[in-house]
Amino acid sequence: MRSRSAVTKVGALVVVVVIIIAAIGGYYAGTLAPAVKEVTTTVERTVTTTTTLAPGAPYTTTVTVTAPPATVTTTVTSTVTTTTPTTPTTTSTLPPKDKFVIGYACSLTGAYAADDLPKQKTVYDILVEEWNAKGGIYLPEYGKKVPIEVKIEDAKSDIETYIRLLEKFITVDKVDWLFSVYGTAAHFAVVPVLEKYKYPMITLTAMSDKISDMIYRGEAHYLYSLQRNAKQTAADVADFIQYIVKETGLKNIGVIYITELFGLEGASALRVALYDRKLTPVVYEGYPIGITDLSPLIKKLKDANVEIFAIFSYPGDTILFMKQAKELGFSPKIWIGNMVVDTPLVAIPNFGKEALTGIIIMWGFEAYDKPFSRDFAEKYKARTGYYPSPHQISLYMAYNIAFSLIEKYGLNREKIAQILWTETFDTPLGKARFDPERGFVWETRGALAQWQGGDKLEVIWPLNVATAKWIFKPPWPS
Amino acid sequence: MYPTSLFFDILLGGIILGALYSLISLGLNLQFGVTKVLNVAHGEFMIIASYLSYVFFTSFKMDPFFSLLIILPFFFFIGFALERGLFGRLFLRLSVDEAVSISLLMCFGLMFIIQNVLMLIFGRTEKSYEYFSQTVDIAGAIFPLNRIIVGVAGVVLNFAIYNFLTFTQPGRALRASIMEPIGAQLVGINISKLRSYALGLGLIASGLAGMLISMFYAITPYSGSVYTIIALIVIILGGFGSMLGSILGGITLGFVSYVTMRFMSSTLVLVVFYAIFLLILLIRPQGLFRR
Repeated sequence: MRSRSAVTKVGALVVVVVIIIAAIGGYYAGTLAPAVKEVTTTVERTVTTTTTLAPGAPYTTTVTVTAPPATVTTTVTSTVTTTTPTTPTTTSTLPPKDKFVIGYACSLTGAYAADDLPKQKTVYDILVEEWNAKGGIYLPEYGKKVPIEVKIEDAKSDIETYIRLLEKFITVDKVDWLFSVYGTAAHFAVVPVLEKYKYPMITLTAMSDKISDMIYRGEAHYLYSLQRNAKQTAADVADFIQYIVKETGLKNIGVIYITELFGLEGASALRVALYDRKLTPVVYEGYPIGITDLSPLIKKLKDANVEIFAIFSYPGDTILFMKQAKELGFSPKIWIGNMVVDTPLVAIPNFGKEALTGIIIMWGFEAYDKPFSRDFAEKYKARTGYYPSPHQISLYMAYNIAFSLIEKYGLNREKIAQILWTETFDTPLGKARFDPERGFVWETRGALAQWQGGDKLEVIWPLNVATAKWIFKPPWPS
Repeated sequence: MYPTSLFFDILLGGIILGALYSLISLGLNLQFGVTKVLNVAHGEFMIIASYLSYVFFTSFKMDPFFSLLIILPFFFFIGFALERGLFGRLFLRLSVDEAVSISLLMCFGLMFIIQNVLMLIFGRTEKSYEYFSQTVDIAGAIFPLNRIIVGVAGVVLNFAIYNFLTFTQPGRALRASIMEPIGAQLVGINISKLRSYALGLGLIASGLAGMLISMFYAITPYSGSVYTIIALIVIILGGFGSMLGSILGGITLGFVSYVTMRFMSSTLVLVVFYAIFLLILLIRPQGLFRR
């Protein structure tokens, strides 16, 4: 008898706890979710209370549950306030909000600055200006549009500073969104911060197999790279090289790389991809960050008569290498590069269009021949004096998608993060989606682009989406 | 590549890089030897000279060597003023140990100030100009002409500075104040005055090196620290306060660096640098060429 009574008491207690949790949970869910006219409270499938309220009316919900031998009464009191009768909004627990703040840890100084600013910041500036010109971004929780404000701080091209700045943005400044950091290594380092605070980050400058692996392992839910990972990029480059070898008979391949995550992964993936295609580089060598003289390496490439050349470099060393290669007359017929030469705003002032002619970049995602791309390209040119790179168009498009999701789901970043992985988006460039390995993909996306003497890069690979036929790199202009 | 051309390639490549490293370290060694100020902003001063050469060349079409007529007096004046207005006062008021530590912190401050001022003026992107970039074939070894000029200028300037320090009265006084500061004062050398000249001359060496590197490297406001590190390694290799050590240490490091890149891998250059650095500290902490 005694034990039976004890069991009953424990059962009653469990019911009480469940009801309290359900009631409190229901209350908070009610304050976070978009407000509706109907308020429904369900407890343990047995009691349902439905109340219809007029906007602005205060209301009290009383749930009474009888679970023998105990009786529980839970009371929740709130007020419905709304500006429009159709979409009333509960604001009693939301802090006031007059702007949508984005934290941007940008390398204003240091080794990354030469590429980070022209590649990412110029796009973000246009994006924010455009949205603010439309009145800002609509936040459904608040039922109004608020202007976008970017809080920018200098990460000094230092990975530790990137981490600290992101934590500061999230915990101290309480920003609503984050713009991406710069470079593969920095993204790899900030993944735990994004995971901890559940902030999505869409980026153009992360190309890593390690990050793809982390996504598959469920350790990186919040990082969305627009780039293919190293393996996918290498596969495209190797396919192109294989095609060139077959078409032209060129055979001496040289691969050099900076000894940083991006360079190490990219070059080693390319070596494996070439090996799979029965091709072996005659020179395969790395060089350290901060190197001041690459001429001995260039002489090695020249001595080996390298005809097809691929370099995985960062901004400073790209410029050094190009300058010294030009001086020493190293001019392979096929030159595949990445940083600096991929962004007209940096490449043209540094090298001139003539010297750039023939140089291929590893991420020629989008041609300028569609209205959306053309519009953005012209806007970008009006602002900077140069056309954007083909992959900057994808950055602009992806952030527009993210902002549209914010307008739909509000500040529920977790929900947006989930949607970014699971949904296919209707974009002006076709149906697009995020893939852990292939980045941001749409049907007509290209892989390689080439300077062909003009102001813009031409997509040359794969052949079915090419806007121009590839050309050999001519000798350096005198 | 044929053995003879490879030989000349390594010989010239090593001399060019070595002469440059020597010149970079000579200035820092002179400053530290006499004033005990470890100027970690040395590389930044070099970069100021590089930017000045760049501006004179691109805006006024002035030959980099001709621009030295403006750069060198300006640098001497900065060194002189820094010693008189900043470091000299510190060494007057504090004990040597305290003054050495605080001047080091001041130099770090200077480094950041220079970097940021350069960034504000010139922006963040790399700047470079083309000066005699056509190639020269020396017995099969190919070098851009600007490198040959840098190599020749580096050797001549090192030789000139060495002769100045060895055979002239002010040079001897400078060396004496490095080797025996108290003895030098006893024989009538005005150390306080000499300190200002030493810092001025040290910055002249930075200015020369900065002008030379601008002829073939792209520069950014943040390029300087790499050269400070190279200068420190060379000084440790040659011995703190030893001018001959700086010259020979620089040439040794230049050869090691060039041979490593040519025969082994560019990735290993820094590894070899730091290995030498550690080895010297373990085996001969006073440096290879210091008695």
